[in-house]
Amino acid sequence: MKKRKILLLLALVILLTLSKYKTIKAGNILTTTATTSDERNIHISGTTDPSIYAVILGIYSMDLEFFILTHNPNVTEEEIQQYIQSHPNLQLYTLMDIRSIEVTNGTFDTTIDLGPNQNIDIKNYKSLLYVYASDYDGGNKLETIVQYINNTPTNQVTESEKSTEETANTTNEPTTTIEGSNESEVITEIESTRKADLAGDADNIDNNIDNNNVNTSDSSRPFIYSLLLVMSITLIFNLRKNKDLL
Amino acid sequence: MKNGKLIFKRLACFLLTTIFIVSLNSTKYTKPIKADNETHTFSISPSSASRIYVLTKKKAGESYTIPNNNYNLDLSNTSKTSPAEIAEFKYHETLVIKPDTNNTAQINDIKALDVNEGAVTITAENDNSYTLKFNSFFYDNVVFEITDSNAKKFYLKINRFISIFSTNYDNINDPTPEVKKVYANTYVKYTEEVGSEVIRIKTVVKKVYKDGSYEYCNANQETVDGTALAIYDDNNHYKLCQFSVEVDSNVKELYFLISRPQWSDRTRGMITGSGMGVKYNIATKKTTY
Repeated sequence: MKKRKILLLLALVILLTLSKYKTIKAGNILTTTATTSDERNIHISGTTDPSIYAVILGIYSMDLEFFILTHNPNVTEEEIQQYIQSHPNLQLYTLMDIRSIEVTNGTFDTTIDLGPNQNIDIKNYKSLLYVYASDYDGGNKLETIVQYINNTPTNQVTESEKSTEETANTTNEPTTTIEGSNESEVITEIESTRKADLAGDADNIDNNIDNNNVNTSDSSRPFIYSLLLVMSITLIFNLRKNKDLL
Repeated sequence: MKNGKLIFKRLACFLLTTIFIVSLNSTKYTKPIKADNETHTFSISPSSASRIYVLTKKKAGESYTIPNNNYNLDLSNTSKTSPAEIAEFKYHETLVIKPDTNNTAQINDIKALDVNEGAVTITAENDNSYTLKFNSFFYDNVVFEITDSNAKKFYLKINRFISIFSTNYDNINDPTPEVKKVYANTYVKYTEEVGSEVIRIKTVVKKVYKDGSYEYCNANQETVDGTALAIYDDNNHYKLCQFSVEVDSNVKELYFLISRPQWSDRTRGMITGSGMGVKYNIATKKTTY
Protein backbone atom coordinates (compact mmCIF):
# COMPACT_ATOMS: atom_id res chain seq x y z
CA MET A 1 0.00 0.00 0.00
CA LYS A 2 2.82 2.34 0.98
CA LYS A 3 4.68 1.51 -2.21
CA ARG A 4 1.61 2.36 -4.26
CA LYS A 5 1.29 5.71 -2.51
CA ILE A 6 4.97 6.50 -3.09
CA LEU A 7 4.69 5.52 -6.74
CA LEU A 8 1.57 7.63 -7.14
CA LEU A 9 3.27 10.60 -5.51
CA LEU A 10 6.34 10.14 -7.70
CA ALA A 11 4.20 9.98 -10.82
CA LEU A 12 2.41 13.15 -9.75
CA VAL A 13 5.69 14.96 -9.13
CA ILE A 14 7.02 13.88 -12.55
CA LEU A 15 3.81 14.96 -14.26
CA LEU A 16 3.81 18.33 -12.53
CA THR A 17 7.48 18.92 -13.34
CA LEU A 18 6.98 17.98 -16.97
CA SER A 19 3.96 20.23 -17.33
CA LYS A 20 5.74 23.15 -15.71
CA TYR A 21 8.88 22.90 -17.84
CA LYS A 22 6.90 22.38 -21.02
CA THR A 23 7.52 25.04 -23.65
CA ILE A 24 5.07 25.88 -26.38
CA LYS A 25 6.89 24.34 -29.29
CA ALA A 26 10.56 23.65 -29.50
CA GLY A 27 12.71 22.51 -32.32
CA ASN A 28 16.33 22.42 -33.24
CA ILE A 29 18.45 24.71 -35.32
CA LEU A 30 20.58 22.45 -37.50
CA THR A 31 23.15 24.82 -39.01
CA THR A 32 24.00 28.47 -38.94
CA THR A 33 26.64 30.52 -40.74
CA ALA A 34 27.53 34.17 -40.53
CA THR A 35 29.71 36.07 -42.99
CA THR A 36 30.63 39.61 -43.83
CA SER A 37 32.65 41.35 -46.48
CA ASP A 38 32.77 44.65 -44.63
CA GLU A 39 32.50 45.64 -41.00
CA ARG A 40 28.81 46.32 -40.58
CA ASN A 41 26.66 44.09 -42.82
CA ILE A 42 26.41 40.62 -41.34
CA HIS A 43 24.81 37.95 -43.49
CA ILE A 44 23.32 35.17 -41.37
CA SER A 45 21.71 32.03 -42.73
CA GLY A 46 20.91 28.56 -41.53
CA THR A 47 18.65 25.56 -41.51
CA THR A 48 16.24 24.28 -38.88
CA ASP A 49 13.84 21.48 -38.05
CA PRO A 50 10.47 21.92 -39.78
CA SER A 51 8.91 22.57 -36.36
CA ILE A 52 10.69 25.89 -35.89
CA TYR A 53 8.70 29.01 -36.74
CA ALA A 54 11.25 31.70 -35.90
CA VAL A 55 14.79 32.17 -34.66
CA ILE A 56 16.41 34.73 -32.41
CA LEU A 57 19.67 36.07 -33.81
CA GLY A 58 22.10 37.77 -31.46
CA ILE A 59 25.35 39.38 -32.61
CA TYR A 60 28.06 39.94 -30.02
CA SER A 61 31.53 41.34 -30.28
CA MET A 62 33.96 39.68 -27.91
CA ASP A 63 37.59 39.95 -26.91
CA LEU A 64 39.34 37.20 -28.87
CA GLU A 65 41.28 35.72 -25.93
CA PHE A 66 38.17 35.79 -23.77
CA PHE A 67 36.19 34.00 -26.48
CA ILE A 68 38.78 31.24 -26.76
CA LEU A 69 38.88 30.93 -23.00
CA THR A 70 35.13 30.68 -22.51
CA HIS A 71 34.76 28.19 -25.36
CA ASN A 72 37.47 25.85 -24.14
CA PRO A 73 35.84 22.93 -22.31
CA ASN A 74 38.99 22.37 -20.20
CA VAL A 75 38.96 25.86 -18.71
CA THR A 76 37.43 26.14 -15.28
CA GLU A 77 35.10 28.85 -14.03
CA GLU A 78 37.89 30.02 -11.69
CA GLU A 79 40.27 30.59 -14.60
CA ILE A 80 37.59 32.63 -16.41
CA GLN A 81 37.05 34.74 -13.28
CA GLN A 82 40.81 35.24 -12.94
CA TYR A 83 40.97 36.44 -16.54
CA ILE A 84 38.12 38.90 -15.96
CA GLN A 85 39.79 40.24 -12.81
CA SER A 86 43.16 40.60 -14.51
CA HIS A 87 41.59 42.62 -17.37
CA PRO A 88 39.50 45.19 -15.51
CA ASN A 89 39.55 47.75 -18.33
CA LEU A 90 38.78 45.33 -21.13
CA GLN A 91 35.35 45.30 -22.73
CA LEU A 92 34.92 41.54 -22.73
CA TYR A 93 31.80 41.39 -24.84
CA THR A 94 29.15 43.73 -26.19
CA LEU A 95 25.72 42.98 -27.58
CA MET A 96 25.70 44.52 -31.06
CA ASP A 97 22.27 43.44 -32.27
CA ILE A 98 19.46 41.10 -31.35
CA ARG A 99 16.32 40.40 -33.31
CA SER A 100 14.12 37.55 -34.42
CA ILE A 101 13.11 36.48 -37.90
CA GLU A 102 10.62 34.04 -39.35
CA VAL A 103 11.82 30.67 -40.65
CA THR A 104 10.54 29.65 -44.09
CA ASN A 105 10.67 26.01 -45.19
CA GLY A 106 13.28 25.21 -42.58
CA THR A 107 15.68 27.95 -43.62
CA PHE A 108 16.47 31.46 -42.48
CA ASP A 109 18.50 34.08 -44.27
CA THR A 110 18.99 37.74 -43.44
CA THR A 111 21.50 40.56 -43.52
CA ILE A 112 21.83 42.76 -40.47
CA ASP A 113 23.38 46.19 -40.77
CA LEU A 114 25.20 47.02 -37.54
CA GLY A 115 25.41 50.68 -38.50
CA PRO A 116 28.48 52.88 -38.66
CA ASN A 117 31.18 53.52 -36.04
CA GLN A 118 31.15 50.11 -34.45
CA ASN A 119 34.95 49.90 -34.31
CA ILE A 120 35.04 46.23 -35.10
CA ASP A 121 38.03 44.77 -36.85
CA ILE A 122 36.64 41.47 -38.03
CA LYS A 123 39.10 41.23 -40.87
CA ASN A 124 42.08 41.11 -38.54
CA TYR A 125 40.32 39.39 -35.65
CA LYS A 126 41.34 42.02 -33.13
CA SER A 127 37.89 41.63 -31.70
CA LEU A 128 35.60 38.83 -32.61
CA LEU A 129 32.05 38.98 -33.86
CA TYR A 130 29.99 35.94 -33.13
CA VAL A 131 26.38 35.08 -33.73
CA TYR A 132 24.04 32.92 -31.78
CA ALA A 133 20.83 31.57 -33.22
CA SER A 134 18.17 30.06 -30.99
CA ASP A 135 14.63 28.82 -31.43
CA TYR A 136 12.08 31.53 -30.59
CA ASP A 137 9.86 29.05 -28.78
CA GLY A 138 12.48 27.31 -26.71
CA GLY A 139 14.73 24.91 -28.58
CA ASN A 140 18.47 24.67 -28.97
CA LYS A 141 21.04 27.38 -29.47
CA LEU A 142 23.92 27.42 -31.97
CA GLU A 143 26.89 29.73 -32.04
CA THR A 144 29.14 30.66 -34.90
CA ILE A 145 31.87 33.15 -35.58
CA VAL A 146 31.33 35.76 -38.27
CA GLN A 147 33.72 34.93 -41.09
CA TYR A 148 35.27 37.69 -43.08
CA ILE A 149 35.02 37.20 -46.83
CA ASN A 150 37.10 39.40 -49.07
CA ASN A 151 34.85 40.32 -51.96
CA THR A 152 37.28 42.83 -53.41
CA PRO A 153 38.22 41.86 -56.99
CA THR A 154 41.69 40.31 -57.05
CA ASN A 155 43.08 42.74 -59.61
CA GLN A 156 42.38 45.62 -57.24
CA VAL A 157 44.15 44.12 -54.25
CA THR A 158 47.73 45.28 -53.89
CA GLU A 159 50.45 42.85 -52.95
CA SER A 160 50.99 44.53 -49.60
CA GLU A 161 47.27 44.18 -48.74
CA LYS A 162 47.39 40.52 -49.72
CA SER A 163 50.36 39.81 -47.49
CA THR A 164 48.74 41.68 -44.59
CA GLU A 165 45.60 39.58 -44.91
CA GLU A 166 47.54 36.35 -45.12
CA THR A 167 49.56 37.23 -42.05
CA ALA A 168 46.39 38.17 -40.18
CA ASN A 169 44.66 34.94 -41.13
CA THR A 170 47.56 32.69 -40.26
CA THR A 171 48.61 34.37 -37.05
CA ASN A 172 45.34 35.39 -35.45
CA GLU A 173 42.75 32.93 -36.60
CA PRO A 174 41.96 30.50 -33.78
CA THR A 175 41.93 26.98 -35.10
CA THR A 176 40.17 25.18 -32.31
CA THR A 177 37.04 27.26 -31.83
CA ILE A 178 36.18 28.78 -35.17
CA GLU A 179 33.93 26.63 -37.25
CA GLY A 180 35.38 25.09 -40.38
CA SER A 181 35.98 27.67 -43.06
CA ASN A 182 37.21 25.71 -46.03
CA GLU A 183 37.16 27.13 -49.50
CA SER A 184 34.00 25.41 -50.69
CA GLU A 185 32.02 26.75 -47.73
CA VAL A 186 33.26 30.23 -48.39
CA ILE A 187 32.34 29.96 -52.07
CA THR A 188 28.87 28.68 -51.17
CA GLU A 189 28.41 31.53 -48.77
CA ILE A 190 29.48 34.07 -51.34
CA GLU A 191 27.04 32.52 -53.80
CA SER A 192 24.19 32.53 -51.31
CA THR A 193 24.93 36.17 -50.48
CA ARG A 194 24.87 37.03 -54.14
CA LYS A 195 21.67 35.08 -54.62
CA ALA A 196 20.11 37.05 -51.77
CA ASP A 197 21.32 40.28 -53.35
CA LEU A 198 19.91 39.24 -56.69
CA ALA A 199 16.63 38.28 -55.04
CA GLY A 200 16.58 41.71 -53.42
CA ASP A 201 17.19 43.33 -56.79
CA ALA A 202 14.46 41.23 -58.33
CA ASP A 203 12.04 42.41 -55.66
CA ASN A 204 12.97 45.98 -56.40
CA ILE A 205 12.46 45.40 -60.10
CA ASP A 206 9.05 43.86 -59.42
CA ASN A 207 8.10 46.82 -57.27
CA ASN A 208 9.24 49.18 -59.97
CA ILE A 209 7.21 47.30 -62.54
CA ASP A 210 4.17 47.50 -60.27
CA ASN A 211 4.71 51.18 -59.72
CA ASN A 212 5.20 51.74 -63.43
CA ASN A 213 1.99 49.88 -64.14
CA VAL A 214 0.12 52.14 -61.78
CA ASN A 215 1.65 55.18 -63.37
CA THR A 216 0.97 53.91 -66.87
CA SER A 217 -2.69 53.30 -66.16
CA ASP A 218 -3.03 56.75 -64.68
CA SER A 219 -1.23 58.53 -67.49
CA SER A 220 -2.97 56.51 -70.25
CA ARG A 221 -6.41 57.90 -69.42
CA PRO A 222 -5.95 61.35 -71.14
CA PHE A 223 -4.46 59.50 -74.11
CA ILE A 224 -7.59 57.33 -74.43
CA TYR A 225 -9.81 60.41 -74.19
CA SER A 226 -7.77 62.20 -76.87
CA LEU A 227 -7.95 59.13 -79.09
CA LEU A 228 -11.72 58.94 -78.65
CA LEU A 229 -12.04 62.62 -79.45
CA VAL A 230 -9.98 62.21 -82.63
CA MET A 231 -12.04 59.15 -83.55
CA SER A 232 -15.34 60.96 -83.05
CA ILE A 233 -14.12 64.00 -85.05
CA THR A 234 -13.00 61.65 -87.84
CA LEU A 235 -16.39 59.96 -87.72
CA ILE A 236 -18.19 63.29 -87.97
CA PHE A 237 -16.02 64.33 -90.92
CA ASN A 238 -16.59 61.00 -92.62
CA LEU A 239 -20.33 61.34 -92.20
CA ARG A 240 -20.16 64.84 -93.61
CA LYS A 241 -18.08 63.55 -96.55
CA ASN A 242 -20.58 60.76 -97.17
CA LYS A 243 -23.39 63.30 -97.06
CA ASP A 244 -21.56 65.37 -99.68
CA LEU A 245 -21.14 62.27 -101.81
CA LEU A 246 -24.78 61.47 -101.38
CA MET B 1 -34.03 68.91 -94.09
CA LYS B 2 -30.62 67.41 -94.91
CA ASN B 3 -28.94 69.97 -92.66
CA GLY B 4 -31.20 68.92 -89.79
CA LYS B 5 -30.25 65.28 -90.27
CA LEU B 6 -26.57 66.18 -90.22
CA ILE B 7 -26.91 68.08 -86.97
CA PHE B 8 -28.84 65.14 -85.51
CA LYS B 9 -26.07 62.70 -86.58
CA ARG B 10 -23.38 64.96 -85.12
CA LEU B 11 -25.28 65.26 -81.86
CA ALA B 12 -25.75 61.48 -81.74
CA CYS B 13 -22.03 60.93 -82.30
CA PHE B 14 -21.13 63.44 -79.62
CA LEU B 15 -23.58 61.86 -77.19
CA LEU B 16 -22.31 58.35 -77.88
CA THR B 17 -18.70 59.45 -77.35
CA THR B 18 -19.61 61.18 -74.09
CA ILE B 19 -21.47 58.11 -72.84
CA PHE B 20 -18.48 55.95 -73.77
CA ILE B 21 -16.01 58.19 -71.93
CA VAL B 22 -18.22 58.45 -68.85
CA SER B 23 -18.73 54.69 -68.79
CA LEU B 24 -14.95 54.19 -68.92
CA ASN B 25 -14.59 56.35 -65.86
CA SER B 26 -17.71 55.07 -64.16
CA THR B 27 -15.93 53.45 -61.21
CA LYS B 28 -14.99 56.91 -60.06
CA TYR B 29 -18.60 57.93 -59.73
CA THR B 30 -20.01 54.71 -58.33
CA LYS B 31 -20.24 54.49 -54.58
CA PRO B 32 -21.20 51.25 -52.83
CA ILE B 33 -24.54 51.60 -51.17
CA LYS B 34 -24.90 49.78 -47.88
CA ALA B 35 -28.27 48.22 -47.21
CA ASP B 36 -30.09 49.87 -44.33
CA ASN B 37 -29.93 46.82 -42.08
CA GLU B 38 -26.46 45.59 -43.17
CA THR B 39 -23.83 45.45 -40.42
CA HIS B 40 -20.25 44.19 -40.45
CA THR B 41 -19.72 43.59 -36.78
CA PHE B 42 -17.60 40.70 -35.54
CA SER B 43 -16.89 39.46 -32.06
CA ILE B 44 -13.37 38.36 -31.11
CA SER B 45 -12.65 36.56 -27.86
CA PRO B 46 -10.33 33.91 -26.38
CA SER B 47 -11.40 30.33 -26.86
CA SER B 48 -13.10 28.83 -23.84
CA ALA B 49 -11.39 25.52 -24.62
CA SER B 50 -8.30 26.70 -22.71
CA ARG B 51 -7.71 28.94 -19.70
CA ILE B 52 -9.02 32.48 -20.01
CA TYR B 53 -6.92 35.00 -18.12
CA VAL B 54 -8.67 38.07 -16.74
CA LEU B 55 -5.95 40.60 -15.99
CA THR B 56 -6.82 43.04 -13.25
CA LYS B 57 -3.74 43.36 -11.02
CA LYS B 58 -1.65 46.53 -11.14
CA LYS B 59 1.19 47.87 -9.06
CA ALA B 60 -0.10 50.43 -6.56
CA GLY B 61 -0.16 53.89 -8.12
CA GLU B 62 -0.26 52.70 -11.73
CA SER B 63 -3.19 53.88 -13.85
CA TYR B 64 -2.65 52.31 -17.26
CA THR B 65 -5.51 50.55 -19.03
CA ILE B 66 -5.43 46.79 -19.39
CA PRO B 67 -6.79 45.72 -22.79
CA ASN B 68 -10.06 43.82 -22.84
CA ASN B 69 -10.31 40.12 -23.66
CA ASN B 70 -13.52 40.46 -25.67
CA TYR B 71 -14.22 42.76 -28.58
CA ASN B 72 -17.23 43.63 -30.74
CA LEU B 73 -15.94 45.51 -33.74
CA ASP B 74 -17.51 47.01 -36.82
CA LEU B 75 -14.94 46.15 -39.47
CA SER B 76 -16.50 48.31 -42.20
CA ASN B 77 -14.06 50.64 -43.93
CA THR B 78 -11.00 48.61 -42.98
CA SER B 79 -8.20 47.87 -45.41
CA LYS B 80 -5.00 45.86 -45.40
CA THR B 81 -2.99 48.98 -44.68
CA SER B 82 -5.54 50.39 -42.26
CA PRO B 83 -7.02 47.43 -40.37
CA ALA B 84 -9.00 47.55 -37.14
CA GLU B 85 -6.63 46.72 -34.26
CA ILE B 86 -7.11 44.84 -31.03
CA ALA B 87 -4.75 43.66 -28.29
CA GLU B 88 -5.08 40.18 -26.78
CA PHE B 89 -3.09 38.61 -23.94
CA LYS B 90 -0.40 36.47 -25.53
CA TYR B 91 -1.17 33.36 -23.53
CA HIS B 92 -4.60 33.23 -25.21
CA GLU B 93 -3.21 31.20 -28.06
CA THR B 94 -6.59 30.42 -29.59
CA LEU B 95 -9.09 33.13 -30.44
CA VAL B 96 -12.62 32.87 -31.81
CA ILE B 97 -14.07 35.20 -34.46
CA LYS B 98 -17.79 35.24 -35.01
CA PRO B 99 -20.05 37.50 -37.10
CA ASP B 100 -22.70 39.45 -35.24
CA THR B 101 -26.23 38.01 -35.55
CA ASN B 102 -27.33 41.26 -37.27
CA ASN B 103 -24.85 40.68 -40.09
CA THR B 104 -26.62 39.64 -43.26
CA ALA B 105 -23.48 37.88 -44.48
CA GLN B 106 -21.50 35.05 -42.89
CA ILE B 107 -17.76 34.46 -42.84
CA ASN B 108 -16.60 32.65 -45.96
CA ASP B 109 -12.85 32.66 -45.39
CA ILE B 110 -10.12 34.02 -43.12
CA LYS B 111 -6.49 34.40 -44.15
CA ALA B 112 -3.45 35.41 -42.12
CA LEU B 113 -1.50 37.91 -44.21
CA ASP B 114 2.27 38.30 -44.52
CA VAL B 115 3.15 35.25 -42.43
CA ASN B 116 4.05 31.70 -43.39
CA GLU B 117 1.28 29.21 -44.04
CA GLY B 118 1.61 27.35 -40.75
CA ALA B 119 1.88 30.45 -38.57
CA VAL B 120 -1.79 30.46 -37.58
CA THR B 121 -4.09 27.46 -37.81
CA ILE B 122 -7.47 28.76 -39.00
CA THR B 123 -10.46 26.46 -38.58
CA ALA B 124 -14.07 26.96 -39.63
CA GLU B 125 -16.44 25.77 -36.91
CA ASN B 126 -19.99 24.51 -37.27
CA ASP B 127 -21.57 27.56 -35.63
CA ASN B 128 -20.22 29.91 -38.34
CA SER B 129 -17.37 30.99 -36.08
CA TYR B 130 -13.68 30.59 -36.90
CA THR B 131 -10.86 29.72 -34.52
CA LEU B 132 -7.39 31.19 -34.94
CA LYS B 133 -4.60 29.30 -33.22
CA PHE B 134 -1.24 31.05 -33.08
CA ASN B 135 1.46 28.41 -33.37
CA SER B 136 4.36 30.46 -32.08
CA PHE B 137 4.95 33.31 -29.64
CA PHE B 138 6.81 34.96 -32.54
CA TYR B 139 3.53 36.00 -34.15
CA ASP B 140 2.66 38.98 -31.99
CA ASN B 141 1.09 41.14 -34.68
CA VAL B 142 -0.80 39.53 -37.52
CA VAL B 143 -3.26 41.07 -39.98
CA PHE B 144 -6.20 38.85 -40.94
CA GLU B 145 -8.30 39.20 -44.08
CA ILE B 146 -11.91 38.19 -43.47
CA THR B 147 -14.06 37.53 -46.54
CA ASP B 148 -17.79 37.35 -46.03
CA SER B 149 -20.41 35.52 -48.10
CA ASN B 150 -20.99 38.73 -50.13
CA ALA B 151 -17.28 38.61 -51.10
CA LYS B 152 -16.62 41.71 -49.03
CA LYS B 153 -13.23 41.85 -47.35
CA PHE B 154 -12.48 43.13 -43.89
CA TYR B 155 -9.14 43.50 -42.12
CA LEU B 156 -8.28 42.93 -38.49
CA LYS B 157 -4.87 43.24 -36.86
CA ILE B 158 -4.38 41.21 -33.71
CA ASN B 159 -1.61 42.47 -31.44
CA ARG B 160 -0.58 39.98 -28.77
CA PHE B 161 0.84 41.55 -25.62
CA ILE B 162 2.40 40.59 -22.35
CA SER B 163 3.68 44.06 -21.43
CA ILE B 164 1.72 47.26 -20.96
CA PHE B 165 3.92 50.32 -20.83
CA SER B 166 3.63 53.22 -18.43
CA THR B 167 5.87 56.12 -17.40
CA ASN B 168 6.61 58.18 -14.31
CA TYR B 169 6.51 61.38 -16.41
CA ASP B 170 3.82 63.22 -18.37
CA ASN B 171 6.12 64.92 -20.84
CA ILE B 172 9.70 63.86 -21.48
CA ASN B 173 10.77 67.53 -21.59
CA ASP B 174 9.32 68.34 -18.15
CA PRO B 175 11.96 69.18 -15.50
CA THR B 176 10.42 66.73 -13.01
CA PRO B 177 10.82 63.97 -12.13
CA GLU B 178 14.57 64.18 -12.46
CA VAL B 179 14.93 60.47 -13.19
CA LYS B 180 12.42 59.55 -15.88
CA LYS B 181 11.45 55.94 -16.35
CA VAL B 182 9.50 53.77 -18.75
CA TYR B 183 7.92 50.74 -17.09
CA ALA B 184 7.12 47.47 -18.81
CA ASN B 185 4.27 46.07 -16.68
CA THR B 186 4.65 42.46 -17.68
CA TYR B 187 2.03 39.77 -17.21
CA VAL B 188 3.16 36.16 -17.40
CA LYS B 189 1.50 32.94 -16.43
CA TYR B 190 2.60 31.11 -13.31
CA THR B 191 4.67 28.50 -15.09
CA GLU B 192 7.11 31.03 -16.50
CA GLU B 193 9.06 31.04 -13.22
CA VAL B 194 9.28 27.50 -12.01
CA GLY B 195 9.72 27.08 -8.26
CA SER B 196 11.19 30.50 -7.71
CA GLU B 197 10.00 33.75 -6.23
CA VAL B 198 12.64 35.58 -8.21
CA ILE B 199 11.76 36.90 -11.64
CA ARG B 200 14.14 35.08 -13.92
CA ILE B 201 12.87 36.27 -17.25
CA LYS B 202 15.15 38.83 -18.87
CA THR B 203 14.32 42.03 -20.65
CA VAL B 204 16.82 43.33 -23.19
CA VAL B 205 16.18 46.86 -24.32
CA LYS B 206 17.52 48.65 -27.39
CA LYS B 207 17.68 52.36 -26.66
CA VAL B 208 17.62 54.39 -29.88
CA TYR B 209 18.69 58.03 -29.60
CA LYS B 210 17.48 60.94 -31.71
CA ASP B 211 20.84 61.13 -33.53
CA GLY B 212 20.37 57.54 -34.76
CA SER B 213 22.89 55.93 -32.39
CA TYR B 214 21.79 53.12 -30.11
CA GLU B 215 22.82 50.95 -27.21
CA TYR B 216 21.59 47.76 -25.59
CA CYS B 217 20.93 47.40 -21.89
CA ASN B 218 19.06 45.14 -19.53
CA ALA B 219 15.92 46.58 -18.00
CA ASN B 220 15.93 46.79 -14.20
CA GLN B 221 13.58 44.63 -12.21
CA GLU B 222 11.48 46.82 -9.97
CA THR B 223 11.75 45.63 -6.39
CA VAL B 224 9.79 45.86 -3.19
CA ASP B 225 11.89 45.63 0.00
CA GLY B 226 14.81 44.31 -2.01
CA THR B 227 12.82 41.52 -3.65
CA ALA B 228 11.78 41.53 -7.29
CA LEU B 229 8.22 42.74 -7.57
CA ALA B 230 5.78 39.96 -8.38
CA ILE B 231 2.05 40.37 -7.84
CA TYR B 232 0.20 37.07 -8.05
CA ASP B 233 -3.37 36.41 -9.02
CA ASP B 234 -4.06 32.92 -7.74
CA ASN B 235 -7.51 32.73 -9.27
CA ASN B 236 -6.31 33.50 -12.77
CA HIS B 237 -2.92 31.82 -12.64
CA TYR B 238 -0.88 34.79 -13.78
CA LYS B 239 1.52 37.18 -12.15
CA LEU B 240 2.65 40.70 -12.78
CA CYS B 241 6.25 41.88 -12.66
CA GLN B 242 7.66 45.24 -13.60
CA PHE B 243 10.80 46.24 -15.47
CA SER B 244 12.06 49.77 -15.88
CA VAL B 245 14.41 51.71 -18.13
CA GLU B 246 15.72 55.20 -17.50
CA VAL B 247 15.19 57.63 -20.38
CA ASP B 248 15.78 61.29 -21.17
CA SER B 249 14.80 63.70 -23.92
CA ASN B 250 17.62 62.42 -26.15
CA VAL B 251 16.02 58.99 -26.38
CA LYS B 252 13.66 58.55 -29.31
CA GLU B 253 12.37 55.01 -28.82
CA LEU B 254 12.87 51.75 -26.95
CA TYR B 255 12.62 48.17 -28.22
CA PHE B 256 11.76 45.54 -25.62
CA LEU B 257 12.61 41.85 -25.95
CA ILE B 258 11.57 39.56 -23.11
CA SER B 259 13.17 36.15 -22.96
CA ARG B 260 13.11 33.15 -20.73
CA PRO B 261 16.36 32.05 -19.03
CA GLN B 262 19.06 30.34 -21.07
CA TRP B 263 20.06 26.88 -20.04
CA SER B 264 23.53 26.14 -21.45
CA ASP B 265 23.14 25.03 -25.06
CA ARG B 266 19.36 25.14 -24.86
CA THR B 267 17.08 28.06 -24.43
CA ARG B 268 13.52 28.48 -23.32
CA GLY B 269 13.03 31.04 -26.03
CA MET B 270 11.46 34.43 -26.12
CA ILE B 271 8.08 35.45 -24.78
CA THR B 272 7.62 38.65 -26.70
CA GLY B 273 9.30 40.87 -29.24
CA SER B 274 9.24 39.67 -32.82
CA GLY B 275 11.60 41.48 -35.15
CA MET B 276 13.58 44.03 -33.19
CA GLY B 277 11.13 43.98 -30.29
CA VAL B 278 8.04 45.77 -29.02
CA LYS B 279 8.58 49.45 -29.82
CA TYR B 280 7.77 52.22 -27.38
CA ASN B 281 7.94 55.81 -28.58
CA ILE B 282 9.18 58.13 -25.82
CA ALA B 283 7.47 61.33 -27.03
CA THR B 284 4.12 59.91 -28.18
CA LYS B 285 4.04 57.00 -25.68
CA LYS B 286 2.77 54.78 -28.47
CA THR B 287 3.38 51.03 -28.41
CA THR B 288 3.96 49.17 -31.68
CA TYR B 289 3.99 45.38 -31.63
